[in-house]
Amino acid sequence: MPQASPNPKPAPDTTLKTDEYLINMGPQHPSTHGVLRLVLRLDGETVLEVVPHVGYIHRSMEKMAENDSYPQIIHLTDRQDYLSAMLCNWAFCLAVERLMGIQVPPRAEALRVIVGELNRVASHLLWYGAYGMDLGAVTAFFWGFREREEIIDIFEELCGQRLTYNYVRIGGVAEDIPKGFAERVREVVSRVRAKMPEYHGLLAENVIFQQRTRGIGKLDTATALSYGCSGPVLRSTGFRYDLRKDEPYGIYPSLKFEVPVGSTGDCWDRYLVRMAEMRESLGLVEQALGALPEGPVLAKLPRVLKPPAGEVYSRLETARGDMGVYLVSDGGPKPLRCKFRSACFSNLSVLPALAPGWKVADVISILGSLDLVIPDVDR
Amino acid sequence: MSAILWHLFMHPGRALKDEIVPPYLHFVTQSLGLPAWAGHLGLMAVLGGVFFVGVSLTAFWLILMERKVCAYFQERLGPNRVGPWGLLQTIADALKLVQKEDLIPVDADRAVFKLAPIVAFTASFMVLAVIPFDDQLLAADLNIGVLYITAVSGLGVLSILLAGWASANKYSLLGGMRSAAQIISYELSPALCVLGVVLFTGTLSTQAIVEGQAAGWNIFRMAPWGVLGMLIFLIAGTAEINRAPFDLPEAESELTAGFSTEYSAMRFSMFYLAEFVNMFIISAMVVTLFLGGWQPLVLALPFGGWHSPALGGFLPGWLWFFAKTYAVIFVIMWFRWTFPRVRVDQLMKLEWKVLLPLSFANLAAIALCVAASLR
Amino acid sequence: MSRDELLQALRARFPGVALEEAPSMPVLKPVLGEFRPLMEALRHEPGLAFDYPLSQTALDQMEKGLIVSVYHLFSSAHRQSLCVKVDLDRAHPSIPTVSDLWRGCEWFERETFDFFGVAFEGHPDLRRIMLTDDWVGWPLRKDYQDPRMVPRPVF
Repeated sequence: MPQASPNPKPAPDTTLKTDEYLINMGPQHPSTHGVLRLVLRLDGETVLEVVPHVGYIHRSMEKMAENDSYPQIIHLTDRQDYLSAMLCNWAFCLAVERLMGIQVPPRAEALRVIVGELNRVASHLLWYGAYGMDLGAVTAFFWGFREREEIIDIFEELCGQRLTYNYVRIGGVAEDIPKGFAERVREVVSRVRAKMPEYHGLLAENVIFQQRTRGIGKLDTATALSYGCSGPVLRSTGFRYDLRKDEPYGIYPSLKFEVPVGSTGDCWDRYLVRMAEMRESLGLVEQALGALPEGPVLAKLPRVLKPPAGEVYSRLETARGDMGVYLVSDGGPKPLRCKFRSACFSNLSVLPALAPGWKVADVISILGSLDLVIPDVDR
Repeated sequence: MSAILWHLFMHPGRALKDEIVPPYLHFVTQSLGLPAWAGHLGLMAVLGGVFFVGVSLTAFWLILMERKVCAYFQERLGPNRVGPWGLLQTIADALKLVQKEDLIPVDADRAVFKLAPIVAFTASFMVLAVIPFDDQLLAADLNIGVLYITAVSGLGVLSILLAGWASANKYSLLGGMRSAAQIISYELSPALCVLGVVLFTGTLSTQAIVEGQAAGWNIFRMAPWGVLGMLIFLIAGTAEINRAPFDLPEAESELTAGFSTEYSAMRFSMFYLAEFVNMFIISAMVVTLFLGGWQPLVLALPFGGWHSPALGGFLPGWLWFFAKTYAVIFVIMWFRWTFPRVRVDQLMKLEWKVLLPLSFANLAAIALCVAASLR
Repeated sequence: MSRDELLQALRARFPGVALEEAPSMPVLKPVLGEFRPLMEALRHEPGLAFDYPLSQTALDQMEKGLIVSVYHLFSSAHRQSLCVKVDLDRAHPSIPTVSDLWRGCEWFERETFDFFGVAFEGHPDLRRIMLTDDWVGWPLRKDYQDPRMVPRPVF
């Protein structure tokens, strides 16, 4: 059961009657990070109930996937959690590879780790900027975006795209890296790493930021598990579970990294977990770069992919949490059912349990700390 | 002629009083044959106009400064296309705002809706009447100057309430109420800090306060209570003018722009201008009360007899005044682009549980020190 | 707990229920009557303790006249996953809710209802989640027709 509200409703005052009222945080709103509608029932400043309405950007991807060939579905995954598009691509490709038993060449696996972890850093940088901006520290937004721009430039050099990459393919990656890529990546990694203390200091050492995030929106592990939360939201409660370590894929078993964990599950812990994750991801990129084997980057596959009849449920750790792909094949070139289990869907579903009892401004803080990408919720 | 111009540059107040106004009055009464009051009226109109234009230009400059300062904090350039270094940017923005359609909501209370920005604007400008820009260069040398400032700056709250009410919009009303609560709360601590200075200098007149700082700036003479007073005044002043980190009514307040949501074009630009003039006023007050006004740098021992000679006295007083004011404005802008926003109950807690008790303690300490040194 | 231990525990606890060993995770296939007690056992019994809902969705098997309600669960204590599938009559698909056992299933089931028309008995708030409230039809069913749909060119 969720935590008891920190501000319990006072005993009814029979002399002065206050009204509850409904406030709409409409689909268009700067702090909801996408088209999300929240209906808040308020008593003064205190939130009594939050009802999220989703589906404003529902594009029926699961239906489209039933009419697409398997390689064509990858471009759909780009557009779900578009901030970690490489990782979403990878999640789907992993499912197909597991279904068909495809061996991915080691060079491709290493490249997947490099782009995946860089994507994680870029996603967390954007989250950092957006969270700062939601709380009023607009400068954080520009700083986060500046570093993210460097990573995006690398991706543009690699696959021509800044946001929807379509780079990780079934059986490997689309193209090999250009000349000088490794040096440029190392340069960017060291630059980002050098800036991290300053970025952390801007927000974390600020007492106003701490007042806005410490103790706000506490989530305990049992509630988080019951709602299906994953990623930094779950890890901030103290539950050490990262798919890269606990249900590993690719070359992650051979890479060394820590899994940062919080303790109280409040917004502050979620902030700390993501900042630490950025640091770990930069280390992973360097490890993968250092051990980049030679060889092909794409496995030899038939032109038309027809997985054998069967099903697979494959999970991958995106920047936001556990992205699951439930793929059911009937032996044909198109899947019978392709269900995308998105991390943000479950992370958003815990908001109605977290928000009541706090103030309106805290709803913004909690929502930002959940790090949602609404197209991932709606698919 | 050039001597007069030089005197006007170095000591504008005295130059006006001694060398420009008497010949003008003589001209009006003798050559034109008009009564003396007509001359004074004309003088008021001209000087008032110059003053008004000057302050508006200051506000224009401040808007650009804000954007440039913000840009450099965020490691980008800011406006640099319109005019060299973007100097004409504000004029371009003003022209754009002027030609926008003036919308008044159907359900709005028209008279009050139109009145609110005027009250905001007027209240801000009225305070400037008693700020001493230089020796004898101030619009009205009231002997209750500080009291006048505290009273008139309260009118600004009225404009917010009027705007929130007249907008016929649930969110504007709530934003306006919240903003009014914030400003009224944050009027108390600055008033107590000002009272500390008044207690120390023994006068309510702003000009006299600045003249007294020829023997050392108040933050030096009243240290450490002066420093505490200045800090409290700066923080509470930032909250009074609704600037970050205390800009909750504007930023998130039920997700609209607070009390000024329904305003467009010139009416909005009046609120906007008033905000920047308020920022100038708070800085000017900090400078006047604590940082020596138009006096050059004079160090001093706390509550002691010693003070250094005037350092930099060759520069005109108004230059010192504006330099110090813009330095304080820079600090206020620095706050905005560094800190996140404070939540509304934390805002109130800060005032009532932290700043106000500190202000009382500060006042008591100053009172004790003054009493001790008088004995 | 390893995969084999899980299979053993499931066989021991639910002897009458069909159990399939699929590559991703074991699949339990209860009939509708034994579904709810089975889910409660999976949730609450310490030897099983499946407390994390991975996913809940449905499969439309039109040729067999079935809609299969598919649940994927995970146990945080034992670190094992499990799939539960229940066959439902395609004409009137209805199944008891598990949203009181796993709070995440509240939204998962709403989504399944929205796309497949599966009625979850006892669900606290069963209404459409993605589509507008006045939408007619169950889009993810294989026989869903919509005048706005365009035929996909065959490659």
